[in-house]
Amino acid sequence: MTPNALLALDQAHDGSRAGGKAAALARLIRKGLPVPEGLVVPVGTPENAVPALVDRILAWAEQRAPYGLIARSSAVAEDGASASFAGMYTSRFTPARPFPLRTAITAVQSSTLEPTAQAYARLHGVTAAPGMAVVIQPALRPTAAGVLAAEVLAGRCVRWRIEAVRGLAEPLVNGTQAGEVHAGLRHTTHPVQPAEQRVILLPATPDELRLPPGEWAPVAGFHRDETLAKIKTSQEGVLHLYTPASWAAVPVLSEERCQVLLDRAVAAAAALSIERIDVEWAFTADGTLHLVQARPLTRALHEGRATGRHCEDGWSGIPAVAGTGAGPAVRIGDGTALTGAVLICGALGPEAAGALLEQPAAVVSTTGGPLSHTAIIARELGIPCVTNVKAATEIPAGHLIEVNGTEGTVRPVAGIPEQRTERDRLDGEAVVVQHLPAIAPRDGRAATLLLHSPSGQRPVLPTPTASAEHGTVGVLIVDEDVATPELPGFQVVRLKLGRLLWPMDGGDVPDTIVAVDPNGRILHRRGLHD
Amino acid sequence: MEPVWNGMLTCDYERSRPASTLLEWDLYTTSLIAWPRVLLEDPTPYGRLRRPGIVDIDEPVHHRLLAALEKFLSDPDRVRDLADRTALHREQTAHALDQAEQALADRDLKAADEAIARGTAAFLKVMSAHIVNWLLPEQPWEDLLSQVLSSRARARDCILALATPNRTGHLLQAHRLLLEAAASIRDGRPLALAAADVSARAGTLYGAGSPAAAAMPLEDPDRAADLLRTLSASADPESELVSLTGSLDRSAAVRAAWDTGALLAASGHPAQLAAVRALSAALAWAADSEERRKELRHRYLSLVRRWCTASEHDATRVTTPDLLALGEGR
Repeated sequence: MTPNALLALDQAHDGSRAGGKAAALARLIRKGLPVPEGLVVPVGTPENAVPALVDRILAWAEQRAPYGLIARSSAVAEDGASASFAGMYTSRFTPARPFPLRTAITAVQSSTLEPTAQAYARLHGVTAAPGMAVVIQPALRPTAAGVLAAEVLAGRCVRWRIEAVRGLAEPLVNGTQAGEVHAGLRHTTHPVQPAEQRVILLPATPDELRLPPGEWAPVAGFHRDETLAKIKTSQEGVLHLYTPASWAAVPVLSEERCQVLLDRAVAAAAALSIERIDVEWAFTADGTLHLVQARPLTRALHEGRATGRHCEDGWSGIPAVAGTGAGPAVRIGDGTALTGAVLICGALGPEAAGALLEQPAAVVSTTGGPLSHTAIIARELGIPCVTNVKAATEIPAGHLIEVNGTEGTVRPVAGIPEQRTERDRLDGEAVVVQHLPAIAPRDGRAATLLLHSPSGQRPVLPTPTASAEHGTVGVLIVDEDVATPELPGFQVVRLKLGRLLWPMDGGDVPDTIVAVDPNGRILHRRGLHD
Repeated sequence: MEPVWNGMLTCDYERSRPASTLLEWDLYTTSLIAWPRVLLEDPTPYGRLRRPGIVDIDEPVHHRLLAALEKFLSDPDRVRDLADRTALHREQTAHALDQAEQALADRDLKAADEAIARGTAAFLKVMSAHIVNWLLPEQPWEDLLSQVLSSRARARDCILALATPNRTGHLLQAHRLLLEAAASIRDGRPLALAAADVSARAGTLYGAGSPAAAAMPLEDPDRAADLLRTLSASADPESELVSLTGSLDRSAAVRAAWDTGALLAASGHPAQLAAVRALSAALAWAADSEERRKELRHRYLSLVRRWCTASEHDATRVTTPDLLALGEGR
């Protein structure tokens, strides 16, 4: 065998040539476990040798890869007992064509030089040579795929966690989607947590990859039931499909398939002589299970949700109405009073207006943006609001949550924080307004300044009556092209920021001006002479 | 909008509005393609129709037109002019719909045809103003206000407050109408009259979906009467009205306070001051466009559905070209 020869995956026992991932898969194959066939570009294959190998790989793949190929990292130090290097190296889906395949192989090879991988190696004290082999396999088109982590004792899984999504597992592994979670401890199976999956990723045929976004592609469920899904986009040989609405409430994995997975995990652990195992798996539409990776479990096995789009301790969406509010989560029609609660809703119609007038503490909507009707009604009613929190449907009724409408976040809280109600202290500042309020505020202001409207509109000028009720009232003109109105009894003070019409008998001109909201909060403060 | 694919963006209403009729898709796609002409007086179409409900936009065209929109919306005079034009298009639509309603009531199909054609032409322009809500230069605006107010959080709060409509949003407006009707019944107004009024003015807004293919529940005055009977008997519509008015006044005051704050912060820098004035006006315009368009859209769809019944057309198959053609050659 020449140094640059391809290895068949089932012969890739030598981890120093085939890398850790390939060596582990070869051991599984030897024990009769269902691993997709493949080839290995060995460690140390120079870049100039790759083109010749590509031709041989394509010849091998001709009848095997209707959905293209996947080039996967298999570093010498990968999938070790203490350091998995999970997610540190590159995997690439690629059409079965020379240039893309060559590019994919060299990209995987060079990922050994990734700074994050090197930093990870240093952190875990891995000193092995940074050799990288590349596993080439036909891309599977899974009905469901995911990860399984388990502790195996006496031939059975005593603690396990399975995360599953439809299609490829990549978005689950990289944390952009939250999978359906099945977990258990000894004889106890925990309730299934549903997946949050709006998009399904599937390797595709060349014809499918030519279809533009908006067209329909077939997707298969278990039992070969096929439906159509909308194409969101396609890139690097993979279709991104919107999850068909008819599948929204259908579990990804049945109990029976979970059991098949657990049984295979036990066998894989035995094959690798380990007790804590981490498996990446895929089911194809014919019900066949494929083990695509197996390695020692190097992290703690938590039963809670580990991946997903949740922010660190809650959920994020689009900021819609500023402010914070906290309270128990409620939904319209569940018989709970909305006053002081956080309303979880979809797009609101006018039927909801009455409920919103009960003054909920905040609104969380699963849809919409800052100009959606839900956002606008919440804004008009002064209720902090976050929109487009898709996962809000999962928030249990009565769960205490805090909504930050400026940040666009929703977080669980142990208690309801006290709302700030005190007004900012005014201490001799002039308050700038666009219209004099009906009732003159007694808030410690030195004066009220009317902000002059821009050119083309009638100037708003103080009247003797207004001055009598509101104390000292001046006019601030900030637009250069506005003529200074004639106001008897007023002097013109020229400032860097514009002009001030100040009553002759108004005393000293104030040093500081502020804009204040109806709650007495100072929104902006600046020196009048700045 | 789907991500860029092979140098092309796709706007897929077939996906985002799967239950829509052809007319609803048509209103979206036609006005989407036409927004540069309606807003910027730029004849470049914003993409091309692939099939009903789906528009493909070349990426360079998208970027060029978005840059033009951003520049346009930084000029306060042009924004004011745009807001005036949008208001005119709304008035033209409402006027045509009034005429069409009257013609249908009079069973004058010829007059109804002509009014619907005029209403369709005007309403497509209203839709074009609404359609750019998701193309607004929100990030440059936030960046500008962050600089002016020296805080990104304040900039966000400011933008959200400025996106308050000048006139009460349609949800509260419809609810206010209902409360006023309930209060008027307590003051002795006949239930049937109040119900007919609510049904005519807000009946198309209550209920799920749209009135394109089937009537909304409160388009039926009897069902509006049922609701009003319950509301006037069991609730306190007067105090709810006071609460609603108070909230609206407060949100307007918050908007004015943030507008003032941003203008004060930008004062002394004429270019920044003009940009702040422009974005403030543009955000109010966008919020108004969203709210008023919804009222007109439901009114328009309901009217066309009833016209289809009267003229034996299929409301699920009729398109904007069909309706625009009604005004030709008469």
